[in-house]
Amino acid sequence: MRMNHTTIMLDCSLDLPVLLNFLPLPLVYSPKLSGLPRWQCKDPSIAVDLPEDIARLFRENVGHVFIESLPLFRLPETGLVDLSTVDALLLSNCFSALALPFLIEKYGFSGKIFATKPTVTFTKQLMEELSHYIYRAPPTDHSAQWKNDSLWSSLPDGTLKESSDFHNWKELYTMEGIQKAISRIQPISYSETIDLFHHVKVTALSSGFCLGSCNWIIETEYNKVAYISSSSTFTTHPCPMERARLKSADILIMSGLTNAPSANPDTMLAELCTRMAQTLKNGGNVLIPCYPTGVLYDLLECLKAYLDSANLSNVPVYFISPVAKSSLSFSNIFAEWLCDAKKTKVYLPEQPFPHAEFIKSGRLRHFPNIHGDLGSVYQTPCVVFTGHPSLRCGDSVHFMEAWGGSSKNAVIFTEPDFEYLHALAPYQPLHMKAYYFPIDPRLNFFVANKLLNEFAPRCLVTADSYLPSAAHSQKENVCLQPEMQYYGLTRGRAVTIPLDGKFQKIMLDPELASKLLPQEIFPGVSVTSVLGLLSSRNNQHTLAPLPPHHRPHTVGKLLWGELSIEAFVQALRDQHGIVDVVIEGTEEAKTLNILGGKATVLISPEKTTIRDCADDKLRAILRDLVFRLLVQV
Amino acid sequence: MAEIRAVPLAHKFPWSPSSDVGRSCILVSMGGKNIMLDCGMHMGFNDERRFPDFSYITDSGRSLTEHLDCVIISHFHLDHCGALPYFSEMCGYDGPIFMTHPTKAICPILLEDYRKITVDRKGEQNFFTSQMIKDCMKKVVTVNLHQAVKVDPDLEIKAYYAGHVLGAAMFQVKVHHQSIVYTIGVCYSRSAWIDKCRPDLLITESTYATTIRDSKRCRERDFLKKISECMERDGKVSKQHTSHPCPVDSLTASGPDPSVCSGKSSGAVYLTRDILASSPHSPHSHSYTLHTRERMNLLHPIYFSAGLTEKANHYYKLFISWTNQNIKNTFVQRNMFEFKHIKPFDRSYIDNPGPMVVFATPGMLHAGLSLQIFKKWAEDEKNMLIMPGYCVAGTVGHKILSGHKKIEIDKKMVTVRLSVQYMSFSAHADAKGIMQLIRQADPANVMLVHGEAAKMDFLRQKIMQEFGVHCYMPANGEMVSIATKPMISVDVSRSLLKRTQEQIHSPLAKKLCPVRGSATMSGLLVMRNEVRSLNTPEN
Repeated sequence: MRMNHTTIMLDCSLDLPVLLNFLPLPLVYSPKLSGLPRWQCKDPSIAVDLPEDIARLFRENVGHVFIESLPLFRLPETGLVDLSTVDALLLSNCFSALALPFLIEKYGFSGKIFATKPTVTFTKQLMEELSHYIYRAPPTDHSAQWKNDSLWSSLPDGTLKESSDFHNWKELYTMEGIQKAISRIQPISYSETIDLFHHVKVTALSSGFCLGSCNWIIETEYNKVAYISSSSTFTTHPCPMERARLKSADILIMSGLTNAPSANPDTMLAELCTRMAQTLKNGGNVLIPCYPTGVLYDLLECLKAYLDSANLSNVPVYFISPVAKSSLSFSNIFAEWLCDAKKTKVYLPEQPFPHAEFIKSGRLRHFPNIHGDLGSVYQTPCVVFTGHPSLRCGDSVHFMEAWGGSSKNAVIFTEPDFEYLHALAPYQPLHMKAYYFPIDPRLNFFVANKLLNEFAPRCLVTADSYLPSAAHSQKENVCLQPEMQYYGLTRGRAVTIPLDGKFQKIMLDPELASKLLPQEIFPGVSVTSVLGLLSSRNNQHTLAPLPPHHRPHTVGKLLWGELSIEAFVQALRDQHGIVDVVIEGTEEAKTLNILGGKATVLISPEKTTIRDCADDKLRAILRDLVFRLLVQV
Repeated sequence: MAEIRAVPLAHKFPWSPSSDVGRSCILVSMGGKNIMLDCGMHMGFNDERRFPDFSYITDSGRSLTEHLDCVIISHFHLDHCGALPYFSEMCGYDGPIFMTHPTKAICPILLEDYRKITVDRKGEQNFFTSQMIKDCMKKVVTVNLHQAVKVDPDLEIKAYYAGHVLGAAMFQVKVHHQSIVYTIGVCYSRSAWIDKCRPDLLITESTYATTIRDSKRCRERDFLKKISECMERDGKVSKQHTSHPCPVDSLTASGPDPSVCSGKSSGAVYLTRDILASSPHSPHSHSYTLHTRERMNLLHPIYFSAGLTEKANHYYKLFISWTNQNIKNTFVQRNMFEFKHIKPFDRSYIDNPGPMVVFATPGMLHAGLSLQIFKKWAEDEKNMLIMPGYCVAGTVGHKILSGHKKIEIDKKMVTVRLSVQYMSFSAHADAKGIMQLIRQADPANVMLVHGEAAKMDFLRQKIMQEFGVHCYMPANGEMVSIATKPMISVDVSRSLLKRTQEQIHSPLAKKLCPVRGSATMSGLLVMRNEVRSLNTPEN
């Protein structure tokens, strides 16, 4: 977004669903995954030309094709703007910041980066987990030879191939890149106002989605832009969404709506608990592929209560992630970023999340991986939370392989980012039960429409896909129904929105101001001419008194007001005894012929002119009279 | 001309010396707003004099709630928040009270502790009750660091990290274009940072006005040497018990210093006395680290007064994000506030044989466990007392530090034979810190509070000399009035601004304007209702 000479980047997400195009990365050699059939290209013209070493990189299962290579990642759009010229990057939450190291390492991003403290912490954890999963057992073949246009277009429909920019997909960053990126972020608080070069001010407001998540206000002295990222109106663990300050913006940018608009998180949670209990009672294990932060904390809290009530309190819960321990620990020290109920707990003092107690009682155990201490305590049936939710890397791959053969076990998907059947495809045929209960607390269209009415911006900017189109009939709960002017965004295209930019702020020096004597020209309106010394530093302007010896010669007094002809004529008569005045002319412009042609005064709304006057004395009389009847400033 | 007025509130009875370090409570008026900074209690008094004289406000005929727009509490020490329940529940203030989260968490515990000592043990009347503390806390609004809090449309407050004790904050108060910064209890370090906000007035404490303290490590070493010498002396001379009561401030927490931990042998004992101190020399630290080792003969037990301390540790664990960066970074692996070598103290241990080290509260020995231990141990010259910080006049601690050899405690004379050591662990700002802070914030005026007159005067001279700003040190009840010249904000049309700015870069710039980099602007100021705009005459 470019506004008032400042270029601001809003969030910096990594397109994770493209992970589904790749073959899962098992920790050790997997005969099943490596034994998936080679893909046979149906298009003979391509198949003939296809070299063997490229063809062997593609495997096929249940209608989906998978690339057997190190997964590559799709970055934010980099072609529209030179990223090294961006002034600031605003990160809304830990899930929308994962492309940051690319920006810094590959695109020379040198602007300021702002995020709340919890966002910094959890962004780092998410990046570390992902990087750890990708690089802990990379496939022997690093080649990106599969990047072949004609090949790509002939892939079957079950592949995510609409993203045709695969030439730009990049290998994931390493720990070093993460460290470098994280250290660049300037941590901030909610409602902390940051001044960017005195051009714009940005403020983070709680968005209620996850710990430290925020929306942004970007404003100048005269205009206000509200950026709504992933937000939630549900009562979960984070600080509730702050709404008051999002109202009446000139522009509202709305993004990050729920990926599961038709699923109610509460219903889904209830279903999840029921299925989980059913599976456990039948002696099966439950796998919940998840991110190591976010909804997880709510899941753990509900799970604990549910297991107790369902008489399953002896079932162990394992949370396996390289960042499991730090995620659980950090969640308990960000009290001021939590909802009131949790916030007040620390005054007791107690840990705000019950998972601390869950761990203490030995029922929730966390491990960095599956090959360490887990083996010594592992018992079934159990519940396992682990990543990655795409089932393409991380320990979820291991559990899919280990548990997939038994119909007693179950995998429950809660993250709607990944199409679950696609995620399961490389593991088919499966005997394990698979459930999809998406829990996405972000705004659905119904709530988003209500908020749009509440916030009443002058205009709305949002993704094209959120806007009404022929595809979804004009129903309230399938798309946004803006009642204000709106602009749709698609990748790679910019929109221009006019803003009123007539004025800027200037500071009057009190000494200069004290000498000004405004005169009232209409009721409630006063004017005065100002002469001062302008200095501009860091985009801030001040007007000070002129140095005493300096008197510019170009400046004269200004006349203000409307010359009343009646008053003029009356004054001539009463004060100077001149009665010979002939008024001619139209409504707008009058001509006063004085003393039979000795002088002519032309009066129009714009100006008054004294003409054809040879008599200097008379001219002075007329001039002074005009001055007297107008306001001189 | 606008003005800012500030007055440190006097005691109920004008008895004490004018600039006594008793407690803080400052009234500020600016731009039609009235703000009270801190609401402290004087620990040296046992009667009504311990509370500030609020009649200064109520004498005007308005109630406290009507008069004051808000109350700001800088940190949880009782000399800064002790009178709060009295003020809100007994004097009837009903408006907002602002403090940080950790302060809100710990403040009621200290108040309750003090109430117990005063009412339950000493049997005093006319003091606030437990319920009043709870009700008072309900009026508290918490603020995050750097969060710009709009108290009302014209009044904005913002907290900055102060690094004094857990949750301590500096506050910037803004009304339109006027602003003040209140920095009681700032321990200046890189993390105790404030931007160049150019306040009209900076109010700062000056408790240690002339001290420029030595480094944290030196103080640590010194402290340990004193303890171990005493221990060794004892080992050679006799097997009689040698004990070292070490009064600590109202709350104590401890934990090892991560930088020392790594790689050191398991026998090492690390104590971090957090609330007591923070060092201007260690960024992010508000912890004071002591490490003692087996070879230093510290196999003897080390005790902390139980109860409060344990609870304090809980708070430290939960508010770890408000502590030292190192502690924060490593807490996942090893929580600094969990330790093996320190045991809770029980009153029955007082007469145990053999040497021991006891950390006990309160720090000024005016009541409680520290006073009880002192009474028992004072008359044995093998014992040692280490005083960690300033003591208010009137307390037993103050008498000890003043060198009194006979002290009356509970109507009994106690002869002081033990050796007394004074070590400043206190994290009050020292002269260097105050000077750095002034340089950083660049105020137009400075006001010193919370210090001793002579030392304050020295610092005052120094500030005026170095920064060329006015520096005030009002006595309690004396008002400071500062004239301010607020800039007036006006809308200027872009075309006029652009046209004028073009002059600066024109070849005729020198002729058009005598001041380099500036230009002469000529425009018409139009005032319509509240809107002021500066335009070209044509427009």
